[in-house]
Amino acid sequence: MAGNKIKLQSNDGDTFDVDVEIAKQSATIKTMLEDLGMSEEDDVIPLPNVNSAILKKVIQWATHHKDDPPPPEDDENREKNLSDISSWDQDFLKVDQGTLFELILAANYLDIKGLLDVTCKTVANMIKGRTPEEIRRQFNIKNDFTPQEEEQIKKENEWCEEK
Amino acid sequence: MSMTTASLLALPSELLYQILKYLDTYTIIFKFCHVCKRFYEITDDYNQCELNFNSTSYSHMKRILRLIKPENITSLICGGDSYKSSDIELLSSIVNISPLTFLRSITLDYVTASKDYELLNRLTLSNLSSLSIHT
Repeated sequence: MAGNKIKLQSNDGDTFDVDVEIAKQSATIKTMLEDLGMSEEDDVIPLPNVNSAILKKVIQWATHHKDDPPPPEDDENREKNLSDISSWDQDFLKVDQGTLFELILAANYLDIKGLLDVTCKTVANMIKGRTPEEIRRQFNIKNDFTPQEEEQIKKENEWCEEK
Repeated sequence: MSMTTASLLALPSELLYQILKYLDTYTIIFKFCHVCKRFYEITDDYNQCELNFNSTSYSHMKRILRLIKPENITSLICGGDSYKSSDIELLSSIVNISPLTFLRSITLDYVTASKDYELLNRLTLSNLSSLSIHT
């Protein structure tokens, strides 16, 4: 089994040779190989939702994390600690926002829990400790509340502030 | 090659919920919620709220409890040095209006037995999957 490779194809046509064990960190690919009985030799696995720049990043991440223990299934005891991102992952995720969100989408589609966790954590870090206006600026989001709604929210908050 | 258009706003709700899992309830209710209409609606439906009396001040907690839907609270953390019976009273006032039907996890940290009893007595525990008491 060791050393077996499969081919992964991005939606823009590039093909990547990847160790089966590395690719299987994606539960989606693992299912394709094991349950659907796709053979590793002859088939190319098309990934219509991932472009090659993102696929390259995902493979880089999965290669670095190939010996990690599988992440715990149990979401109840999930670590909320935002500062426990490894320095390798922090460097890996020093990318523009578009890439970060594409990685989240790819991690979700490929079902790679570890990558989804660390990318979502990174975004949570960008939200934490900021005011709504700062969050809007950070993510280039337009304030689409009407002045009346704004006033309503403000009132709600003031009312809560009492006592 | 392909232009990147992905943005936070363009993520499907299920993935925004994944991100909210890493934020405390105060940030969700008072910051994230007020960014734009979509986040406001998402917050309203978010049903994984954790109430942490350990890390949230009394006045913040009071505000959170007034805005949150009780049925969206799934986790409760009480205890620590600052924990007072006023916290229990605050929580009870909410519980009396609407039971915390979906409460799945309770962590009690360094709370006296009588306070534990008082609190547990008032909660609906039918959906609980985790209870930890540290003394």
